[in-house]
Amino acid sequence: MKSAVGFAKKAPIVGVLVFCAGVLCIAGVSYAVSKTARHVFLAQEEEIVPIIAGGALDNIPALMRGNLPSVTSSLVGGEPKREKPPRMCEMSEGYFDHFELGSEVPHGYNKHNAYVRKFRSRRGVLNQREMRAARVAWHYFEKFTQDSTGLANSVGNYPSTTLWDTASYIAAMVSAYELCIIEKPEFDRRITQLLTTVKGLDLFRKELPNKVYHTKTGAKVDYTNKPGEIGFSALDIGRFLVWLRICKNRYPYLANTIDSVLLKWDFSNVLDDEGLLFGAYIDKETDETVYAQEGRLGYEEYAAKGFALWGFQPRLAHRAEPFLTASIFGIQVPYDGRDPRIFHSQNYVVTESYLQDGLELGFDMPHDDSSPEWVHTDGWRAEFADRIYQVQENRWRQTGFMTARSEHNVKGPPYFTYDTIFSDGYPWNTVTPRGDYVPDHAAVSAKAALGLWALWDTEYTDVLYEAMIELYDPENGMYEGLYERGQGRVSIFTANNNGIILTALLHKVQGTILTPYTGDTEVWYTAFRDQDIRLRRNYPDPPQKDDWLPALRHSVQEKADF
Amino acid sequence: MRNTMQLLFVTLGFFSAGWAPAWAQGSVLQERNAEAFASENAILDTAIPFAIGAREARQALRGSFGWPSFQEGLVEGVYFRFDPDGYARFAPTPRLDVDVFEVICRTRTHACAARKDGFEVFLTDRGQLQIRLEEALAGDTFFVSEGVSEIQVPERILQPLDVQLELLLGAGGDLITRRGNSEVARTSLKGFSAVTAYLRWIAARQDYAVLPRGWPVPNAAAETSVTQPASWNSPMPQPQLLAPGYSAGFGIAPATSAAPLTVPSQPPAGGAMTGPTVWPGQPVAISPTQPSHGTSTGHALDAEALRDELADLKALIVAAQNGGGPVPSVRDTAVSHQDQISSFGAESHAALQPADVAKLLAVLGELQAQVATLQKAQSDVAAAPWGGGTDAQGLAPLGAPAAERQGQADTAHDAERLAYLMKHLGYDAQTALTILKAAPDAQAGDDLAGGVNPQWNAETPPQSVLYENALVDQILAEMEAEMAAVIGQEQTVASTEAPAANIAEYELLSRYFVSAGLPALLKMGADDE
Repeated sequence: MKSAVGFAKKAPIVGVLVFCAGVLCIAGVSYAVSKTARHVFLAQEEEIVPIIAGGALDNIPALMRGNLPSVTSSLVGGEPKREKPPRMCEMSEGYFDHFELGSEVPHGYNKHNAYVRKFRSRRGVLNQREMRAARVAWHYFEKFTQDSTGLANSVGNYPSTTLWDTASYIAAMVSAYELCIIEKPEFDRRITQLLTTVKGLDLFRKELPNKVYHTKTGAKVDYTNKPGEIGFSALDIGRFLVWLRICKNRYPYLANTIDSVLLKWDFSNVLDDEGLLFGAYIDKETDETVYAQEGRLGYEEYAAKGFALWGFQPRLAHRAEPFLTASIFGIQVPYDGRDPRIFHSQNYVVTESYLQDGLELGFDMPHDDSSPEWVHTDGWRAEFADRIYQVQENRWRQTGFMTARSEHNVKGPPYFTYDTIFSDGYPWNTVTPRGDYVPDHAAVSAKAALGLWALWDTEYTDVLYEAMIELYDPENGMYEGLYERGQGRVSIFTANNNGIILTALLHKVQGTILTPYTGDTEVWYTAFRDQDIRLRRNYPDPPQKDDWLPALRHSVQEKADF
Repeated sequence: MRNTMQLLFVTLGFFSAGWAPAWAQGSVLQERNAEAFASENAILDTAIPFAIGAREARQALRGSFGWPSFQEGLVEGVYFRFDPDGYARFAPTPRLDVDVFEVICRTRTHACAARKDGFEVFLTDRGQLQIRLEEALAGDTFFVSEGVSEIQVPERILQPLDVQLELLLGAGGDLITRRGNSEVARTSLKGFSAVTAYLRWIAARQDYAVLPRGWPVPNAAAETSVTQPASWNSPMPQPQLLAPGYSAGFGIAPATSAAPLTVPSQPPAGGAMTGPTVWPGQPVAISPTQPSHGTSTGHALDAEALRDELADLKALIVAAQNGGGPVPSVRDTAVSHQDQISSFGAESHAALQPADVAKLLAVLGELQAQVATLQKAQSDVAAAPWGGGTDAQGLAPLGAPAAERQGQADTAHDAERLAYLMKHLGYDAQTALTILKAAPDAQAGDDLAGGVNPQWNAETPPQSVLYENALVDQILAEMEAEMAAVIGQEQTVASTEAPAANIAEYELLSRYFVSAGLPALLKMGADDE
């Protein structure tokens, strides 16, 4: 029946038609979307950067990694590298007139965990007194270097040395040259003879240099300077690596010689997979080599950075942990947290390792070659160093004892003391290598005093300077120090003391001693790629950004803790 | 302290080097610093523990020279550390910072000395401990103080120490030096026993045998010769053994016995005594704690000591012969006596051969002649009260009644004798009674008097009795000297090497003397009287 308004009931065919129309629409939309998506995706695929051999996206085989450049902060950030300063005698008259010291930059950590210190370093040319001290300090090496080997005696005319002290000799050579005390012919003669000798040294069990060598013969000896072997010291090697890197970066013409020295050494046991440093000694009964962790807070990180400068990754050794603090004169002095009763190794807190880090490496990370001088990218090291300085100044202000503590030789038994800020649970503990308390041997160390003077431009370090700058014997070099209890000068002359004093003086002229590497590839990274030697001796590849040691920070002490 | 010695050596070196320029002197100094660690200067192996719990450790060396190892530990309440060159520190705190005994050895020798403040202790050439006090002067008095109590110690603490003094000082406390009423110095003795044991241990080349009894020696169970007192070679007199049955059989102590010896009530004054002395009431039991200096050295020292003692005894005998009695020259009576014991014991170790016995008899005969001479000289003195204006014939009547009196108990006879003396010889009553009681048959007289007459004891010189004992001692000493000459040097040395007294030899010699020598002497004494 038909109604007046039309059809009251539709036919099923209409529904079918509507359904079909809907399906067709959906299919059409889907097709269009897929076509569009396909178009888009295909277009991206076509824009992929092709992997270029040796390029960043190339998974380079080990054989070819030596060709990679070492990635540094300047390479990553596109910042200009620091420049090697001119020798002192080549500086223009107004060199320091507009010298930027970042005096307005507030101290503290920045967002990259770099640290700006409360005090700045001293900068400027050397005055007459300082030049005289520099010449006297250099005279030690003129007098006590052996013509036969080019090695310098560690202590006076006793013909033995360690790699640590040999590094001090290199430091002295570099300083003497840069301070225009010697000229290039003599510098080249000395450094070449030394490197040649070091390359020819008989290694400890074909691994690394023995702890001690006879300076006249170059033979490896024991602690009595008799032919024999002791083991190797990771700390000594670390410091030696720092100065080899300084030489190589400053004087590229020495690079091949320096690389050839290191390419004789076997680093397979000195670093473990965690990045911990190991020294070696001989088991008395079995005569076997024993590898033992070496280094405590201060020295350990300094040596670790020496290894890192050559591409190694001493991640654990570079960390401050485990460390504790002791409150001394209101300062939380950090010390190594490893229990001496268990590890049988004391946790001496002395100034020297912090000074060396500051003078030679600028408290910077090994990969940093671009940060301003007042920014220390290895932040916690600079912050800890500030504490080490401050606690010594506080002692002077609160007790009157002029304080610049370090390890040093002494006249007569026990011949060597760790004149510490803190060790074995006691502040201002002066101990022998076996742990006896010998307060009579407490002294103001000349190298520590002038190191503090160079890195901390303060009233207190002016006092230290006045006490030390004329503390020399013109025929033998700078004295080791001044006894704290009034026994006079420490009448010993050593390579380490004179080398560090020269470094401190050079730092005043040139700032951080380590300068950026200016070359491209290095033989150190490319050699033996066609053999398995690199693998067996644990030679590293050029460090990339992922290999950088992490920049860390630790809690900062805001006010004195009394 | 150690620096002072080093400075002294260096100073001497400077003079020996002549007038070297200043820079050269500095160089010499540095070289000597380093050469102090030459391997030749190592006298100790730090791997050999000084006591249980001690450990060898590596020194934290940063430089190019030094001792690679040391040893540290805790013993007898003090902590210690020592280096291969013998340099050591002993202190009650692990930091070794206060109250420290510091031991320094002469370079490349085992001669070491320990110092604390002004107190120094070292071993003499004979292996005896000796102390030196910087502040001490003649006339100072010394005390050992323990808390509130203190005792005075003799001046001879400045001489080589005997065992008792060593034990006293080793017990701890403070050693106080006083001058008048004021205290001059006070030194803590904490660690004294440990450091003296260390000195001996060094001198004995780290031999545990020289360490005191009870010392915590490592692996003591495995060591068979850790402490062997009997074999210790000591310059001090050794404990002597008594001949079994000797004193029991004769009711008297032999002169060679140490057992009945007691000490004089007062310690001897003066400091010349080098032998052992004991305190009142203490037995003369010599504890052999002196170190051995190696077997041969120890025996050589013993032989030398014996020779010295024999020479002293010989001098005593000569003095007695000339002056009429033993005169202690360098030692007090007790010490001389002890030395005689010691030397006799040492000499008697040699086995007696028949030829030796014959010679001994000959010597004994000579001695008897000497004794007779001495007896005569002595009796002249002793007989003076007897003379009283009469000659020896005046005693004749005494002899006859005495002979007749034997077996008689008749007191009337004595009265007759008394009357005879008073009437015919003109003695007063008291003198006559004295003569009567002092007659050879005094026993009868004693019986007559009913006991010991005090007056008799007072008037009769005791020398006659003491003389016999002293004389026996002299004879024995002379016998030793003669024996040494007869037997010869080799046998003497061999005898001193015997590890312990040979009881059988003691017994043999003692019995021989009792059977042959002593009766003859007694008879001779009786004849003289």
